[in-house]
Amino acid sequence: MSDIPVTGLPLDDITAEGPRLVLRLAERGLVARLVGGVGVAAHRHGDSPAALDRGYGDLDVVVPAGSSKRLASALDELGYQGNRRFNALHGDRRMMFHDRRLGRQLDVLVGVFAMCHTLELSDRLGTGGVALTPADLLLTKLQVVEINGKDLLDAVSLLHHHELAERADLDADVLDLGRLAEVCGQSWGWHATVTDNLPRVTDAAAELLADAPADAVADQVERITARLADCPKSLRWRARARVGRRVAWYELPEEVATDVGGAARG
Amino acid sequence: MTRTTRASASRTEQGPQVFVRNSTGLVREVSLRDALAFNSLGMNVGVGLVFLLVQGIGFFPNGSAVLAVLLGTLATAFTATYVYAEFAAAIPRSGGDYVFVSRTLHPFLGWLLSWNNAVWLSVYWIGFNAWFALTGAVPTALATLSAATGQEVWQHLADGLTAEHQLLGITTQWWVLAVGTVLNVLFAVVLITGARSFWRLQGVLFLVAGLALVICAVLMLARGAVGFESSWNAFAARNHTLRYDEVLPAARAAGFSPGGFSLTDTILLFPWVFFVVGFGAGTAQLGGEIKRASRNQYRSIVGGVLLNGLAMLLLTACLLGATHTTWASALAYLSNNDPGALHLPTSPGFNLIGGVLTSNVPLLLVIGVGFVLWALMGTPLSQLQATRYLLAWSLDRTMPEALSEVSERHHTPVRAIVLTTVTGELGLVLLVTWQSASLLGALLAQILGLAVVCLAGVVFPFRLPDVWRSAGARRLFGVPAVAVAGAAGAVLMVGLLVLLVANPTLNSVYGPTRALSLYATGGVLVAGALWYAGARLVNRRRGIDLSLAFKEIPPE
Repeated sequence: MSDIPVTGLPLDDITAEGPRLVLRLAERGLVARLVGGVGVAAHRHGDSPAALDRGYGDLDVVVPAGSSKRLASALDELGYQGNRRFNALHGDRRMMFHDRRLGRQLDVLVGVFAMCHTLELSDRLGTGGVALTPADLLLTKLQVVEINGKDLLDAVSLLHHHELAERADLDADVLDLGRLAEVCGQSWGWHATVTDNLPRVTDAAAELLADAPADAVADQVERITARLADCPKSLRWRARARVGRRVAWYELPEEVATDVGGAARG
Repeated sequence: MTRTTRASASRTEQGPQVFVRNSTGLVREVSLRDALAFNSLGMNVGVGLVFLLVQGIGFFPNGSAVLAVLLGTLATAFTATYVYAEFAAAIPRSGGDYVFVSRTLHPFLGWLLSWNNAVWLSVYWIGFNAWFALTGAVPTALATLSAATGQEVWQHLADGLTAEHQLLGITTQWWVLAVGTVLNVLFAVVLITGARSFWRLQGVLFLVAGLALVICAVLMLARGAVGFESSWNAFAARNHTLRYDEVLPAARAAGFSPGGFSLTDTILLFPWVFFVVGFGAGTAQLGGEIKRASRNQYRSIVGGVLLNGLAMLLLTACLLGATHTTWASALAYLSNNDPGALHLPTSPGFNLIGGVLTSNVPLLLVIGVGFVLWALMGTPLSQLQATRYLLAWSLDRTMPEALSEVSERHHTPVRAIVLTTVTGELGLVLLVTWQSASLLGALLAQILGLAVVCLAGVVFPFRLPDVWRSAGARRLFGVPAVAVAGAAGAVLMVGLLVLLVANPTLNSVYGPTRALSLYATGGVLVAGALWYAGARLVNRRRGIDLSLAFKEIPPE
C-alpha cells in the first residue's frame, strides 16, 4: 500500500480513493474497512477478466461504534463534509459525507450493516487489508432480496478471486465457509435470501466468465449451498422457518433524498 | 454499493422505477405500527373519552355523542389531517409543518407556527400530562380500586397523592410535583438512551393502554344495561353515593332538562371530538424517520385518525348502551354542576364507569394503569416532536447549532431533550401551583396554527408543483386534492374557533378568550417574532443570509 497518495484531497479514481481513505484514517487511530463495490474491487487479485470490471458511484466504509466525532473530524481533514441533518438523525447506525472536490457520496456504516438483512460487523473489522473479509462482502451482496446485475457481478468476482476455506482468520484472503454458515445458521431470513440468490450467481458466472472459471464458480456455489444446508440451525432459525415466507423475512432499504433542494423552487 | 432500495418517499409513486440503485439504502427506524401507535397516543382516545363523557354530554345532553364522533372524525380526517399526510408523504423531513409552511407560504409563518407548537408542546403539554395523570388518572384508578375491593388504603393513597403539604414554607401538592418530576426525568432518560428503546417501550405501553379500553368495552357489552344498574347500585352502596335510579331525579332537581335530539348540540360536541382526532399528525414532525413515508404517512395519519375515531365511536356507544344515554348525560351534568349531590370519590369518566363493572383486582389494575398511560404517554411524544423542531431550526440556523448536536455516547440530541424536560418541568410547576395555569393551553393559537398548515396545503401544488407531483399528484374532480382538503380544513378550523369563542358554554369550558389565555398566546407569538428577528440579525452579521435556506427543501 506504499503507493497510496498522501494528498489531502479525494482522488478521482474511486478504487484508489477507498484504500487511501482507510489508510489515512488508520494513521489517525481510526478503524474503517471498505464495503460495497469498492470493497469488492480491493479484493481483485492478479488478472481479472474484463467482464468483471464495473464503475462505482460511491464509497462505503464500516467503522466501529463510538468513534463518530473523531471520524467526522478526520474525514473533514481528508476532504469530506458531513451531512449534519442525516448524521444527527441516523448517526447511531449510518453517517453520510460528501467529498468536497468531486461531490461523491461516502456512506459510513456504524458497527452494523443493516439493509435487507442485518450483519453485525463490530468484531469483523480486524482484517489485514483495507476491506471487509471476502465472506462478509459476499454476504452483503447475497442479502439483497431483489438482487441486480452489479450485485451478481460483485458476487461472481469474489468467488472468482478466492478459494473457499472451512474456517479462516480475519486476515486470511480466502472465502470463509464457516462465516457464511454461522450467519445463515442463526437466521432463517438470511438463509432464505442467500440460498435464493446463489443459483443466480451461477447463472451470472456463466454469462460473464469463460467456461472453465464459470464452472469453478458453479462448483463453489454448490459447496456453499451444501454447507448452508448442513450447517447447524439455531432454535430461533427453526421457529422462524415454521412461519416461512408468509411473513416478510427482510427489510426494504429506501433511498436517501440528498439532492432535492431545487425542488422547492418549483 | 448497490442495494435493493425503495425510491425516496417523493419518488415511489412515479410508477415503474420502484426499485432504484442510486445509492446505499437506509432501513428507516419507525415502522407503520410504531407510527400508528405514536399518532394514536397523540390523539389520546383514553383521555378524550373522559372529557367527552364527563364534560361534553353533560353540557349538551341533546347532542348525539356517537354522531358527533362520526362526523367530527370524517371532517377532520379528510381536511386538516389529509393536508398533513400529503405534506409528510411529499416532504418527509424533521420539523414537519415548520418545513411545509416555511417552504410554501413564508419562512416567518413557518417559524412562528413551529415556535408556537414547540413552546406549547415542551412547556404546557409535557407539564399537563404529568399533572393530569397524577391529579386525574391515578386518583381515579386508586378510588375505583378502593371502591371495588372495599380496602380504604387505595383511597387514602389517592388522597395523599393529591393533598397539599407544607415544605420549605410552601404549601402545595408536593407529591404531585415530586412524582411528576420523576416521571418526566424517566421519560427523558428513555429518550436519551436511544430512539430504539423508546419505540420498543411505546409499543408495550400502547398495548397496555389499549387493553384498558378493550377491557372496559368488553365489560360494558357483557354486563349490558341490567348488569350495569346492579353494578352501579353495589358501587353506590359502598361509596354512599346515588343509586342508579336516583341519578336522573337528582340531575333534574339540579336543572338538567334533556329534550329530543338536537343537531346544534351535536355540533357543539365537536370540540371534544376535535381535541382527540385533530392531533393525529405527530409523525409528520418525524419526517424521514418513518419507513416508506410516501405510503405510511397516509396510513398512520389519515388511517390513524379514522381508526381512532372508530374506536372512540364504538367505546362511546358501548358506554351509552350500558348506562343509557340520558342517565350518562345526567351523571355528567351532576358532575359538572352539583358534584356534592353526586358524592363520587372521583369524576365519572369512562375509566370509572368501566371499573364499576368489575371487582376483579387484576382487571382494575390494568384499567387503572392503562388510563394513567393514556395520560402520560403524551410526554415523550411532545418531547420527540419538540426536539425535531429544535433540530430543524438549528440546521436552518434560527437556533444555536449546539441544540442539534448528537451525543457521541447515546446518539441522541441530549441537549435538546434536557431542554424540553426542563421546560416541561416548568409547566408542571405552573399547573400544580397556579390554578389558572390550565388556561395557558392557548387553544386559539394551536387551532390557528392548523389553519395555517391548511392554507399551506391550498398553495402547495402551485408553489412546489414538482414536489407535489412527486407525491402522487392526487386530484379530486380535477382539482389538487390537497388544495381542496386545505380549503375545507381552513374553513373547519375557523368554524371551530367561532364555536369556541361564540358559544358561552364552550367559551367557559375552554376559556379561549380569557385574558390570561390571550396574553399567553400573544406573548409566545411576540417572543417568537423577536427571536426570529434576532436570529436573522445575528446570521447577517456572520455573513449568512437565512432566507437562502428557506428556498430549498433541506436534504435528509
